[in-house]
Amino acid sequence: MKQNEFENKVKIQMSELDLDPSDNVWIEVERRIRKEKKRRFIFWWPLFFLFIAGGAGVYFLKISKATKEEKAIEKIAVDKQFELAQNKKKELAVWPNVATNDKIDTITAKPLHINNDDGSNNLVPYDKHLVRKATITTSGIGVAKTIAMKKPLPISNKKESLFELLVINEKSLAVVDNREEVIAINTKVYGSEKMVHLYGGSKDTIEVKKISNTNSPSETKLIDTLSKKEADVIIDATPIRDSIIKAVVTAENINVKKKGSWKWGITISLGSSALADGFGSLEKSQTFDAATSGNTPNPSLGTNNYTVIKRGVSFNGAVFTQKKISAKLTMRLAASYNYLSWGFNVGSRVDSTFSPGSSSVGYGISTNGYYRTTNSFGGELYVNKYHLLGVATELSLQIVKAKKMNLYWDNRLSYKRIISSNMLHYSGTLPGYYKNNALLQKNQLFFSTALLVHMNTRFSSGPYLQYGITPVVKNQETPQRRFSSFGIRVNFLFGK
Amino acid sequence: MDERQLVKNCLKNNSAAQRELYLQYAKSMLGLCYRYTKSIKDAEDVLQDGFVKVFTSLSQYKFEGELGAWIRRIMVNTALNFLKKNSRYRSEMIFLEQPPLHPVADDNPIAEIEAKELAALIRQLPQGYQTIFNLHAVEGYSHVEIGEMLGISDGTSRSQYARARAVLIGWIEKKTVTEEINMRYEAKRI
Repeated sequence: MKQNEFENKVKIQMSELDLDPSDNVWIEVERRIRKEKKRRFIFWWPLFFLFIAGGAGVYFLKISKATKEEKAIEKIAVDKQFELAQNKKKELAVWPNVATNDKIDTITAKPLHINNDDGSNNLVPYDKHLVRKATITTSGIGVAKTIAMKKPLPISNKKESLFELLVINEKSLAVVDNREEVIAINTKVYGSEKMVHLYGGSKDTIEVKKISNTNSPSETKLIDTLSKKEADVIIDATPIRDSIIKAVVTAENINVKKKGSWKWGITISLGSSALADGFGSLEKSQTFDAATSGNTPNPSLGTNNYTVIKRGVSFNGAVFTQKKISAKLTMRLAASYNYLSWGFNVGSRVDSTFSPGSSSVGYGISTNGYYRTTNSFGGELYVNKYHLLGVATELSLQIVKAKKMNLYWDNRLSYKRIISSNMLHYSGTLPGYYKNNALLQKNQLFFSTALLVHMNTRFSSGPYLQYGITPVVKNQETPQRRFSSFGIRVNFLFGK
Repeated sequence: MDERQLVKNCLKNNSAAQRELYLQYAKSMLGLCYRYTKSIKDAEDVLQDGFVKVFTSLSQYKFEGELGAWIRRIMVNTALNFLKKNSRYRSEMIFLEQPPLHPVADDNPIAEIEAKELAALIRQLPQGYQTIFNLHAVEGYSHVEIGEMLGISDGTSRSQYARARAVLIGWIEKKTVTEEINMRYEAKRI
């Protein structure tokens, strides 16, 4: 037969070959594509969390950088871009280089100035500063007093609101503000009594002294204000120029900030998980139904049908924020994703619909397909997997403080919800294992404890142990089985 | 609903559209799977795997070429994977380069038999012959392409095909002759 003729005829004949598939094919295709869609959805969750954690990390690193700049002002000498209020021109201004005497009655500071194009310097207005907290120490009283101004002082074009605050450092204050509630300074009251002007003079430093007598009614009023606030540190200097200085600001007490601010981080845990009957039996693993039944094996199964629980992989990823609430205690709040798994042996799969029947667990529920029972040496390993999302609160106690090692004891309470699982349940009427997520206790409480060694200010790691407070399955008979896991946890803190 | 719209609806996970697409191609694709396997159950397994792949990778179909041809390629690949993974088939998938059999007669026995009968004969071929015959004679792949798909040389594919073809034609001839004799015998009886 001619070569192509034969092939062509075969092709034509075969193109006519249509066969009717059984209905089960479509049912199974549909089930598998739904499952695949779900699996892909679950696959993206951890990546989503990592993305959020990464984004939060970058954001807070930036915040941390900004905070560092503020602190640098406190430590003196910072260059910044300021906008000149008068000519709307952006120029480089240099924050005064401030030094403090331990005896508070004299503080010296370089005046605020800008670098002009011709190389000269001018005193300039400051802008865009936040006033948060200032500490005033008076030499007379000898005790630091704190005046907290918690909200940023408004800065506007009105003369009355031109002023702010100059904080030298956390021990010794300097300065200022406009309105009644203000603090500090000397200088001349200029035009309006409510305006306080800071003068640098032509010299390189501004002196801050205890105010003495004055004949100026405005100054007297200011001094009255100061005395009411029990602050007697003022700035006394010769004017540089007649322009009003929108002075200053910044800064918080560094120690206060360390204790009080929220910091962000991520935590990753990797370990092994299984089911347990109680704290005393975390490794208990003899089971015939894995989770849904009690101690007594179903008589029809016989002792040979016991199967051993095999530990599976556990993973936990979380984003947390923490705050130091005392010298040794830190509080954390976290949002987490948790993966838990464990395995056991099952027999062959039977693809038919059935109802668990009179079994107390799963009564009245139909399921499509199930697995026969087997012993630990027969059948195939089936891995029960659980994906959980949740929130947690944690207390971290510093128990060892040494030069080379800081040891913390972390205790965490978590609420998690099972968002997906392929867990098999036991039915004595089969006997066999079947899937039914309606039997799961989806809302779970967990307790975990960990000993973490802090390797530096950012990294800490150590062993952890997690135990489920809530049973895995609803309406479970004794003993109630719970999740247990242990492994290694690593914390990473953003910022310093 | 036109095919483009049907695909778009499938991509939105519309169950009705997915079922429609399945019904549109299931019969012909089962015919394809049937030719590569030895039982209808295995053919249905391949069909099932193939359609799962079709639906999960439908976003990769860029409307270039016919949808039917795209699905067909997926089915062929799925069938080949099934043969490789399944020990019953794998053990029979031995490809040896052999000299072709004697030339076959230049007549046309294939016109005499139905598609189902031809498919049944193809399925009786040894697994290696069957696979190569399907890929070349029915799907139209070249021997070089078949060599790449199965990990054999194109020469082996060529020789296996020639033998498969010769065996098949022999069977067809035998079958048609036997049927003709039977028919004459029946006619005489009547």
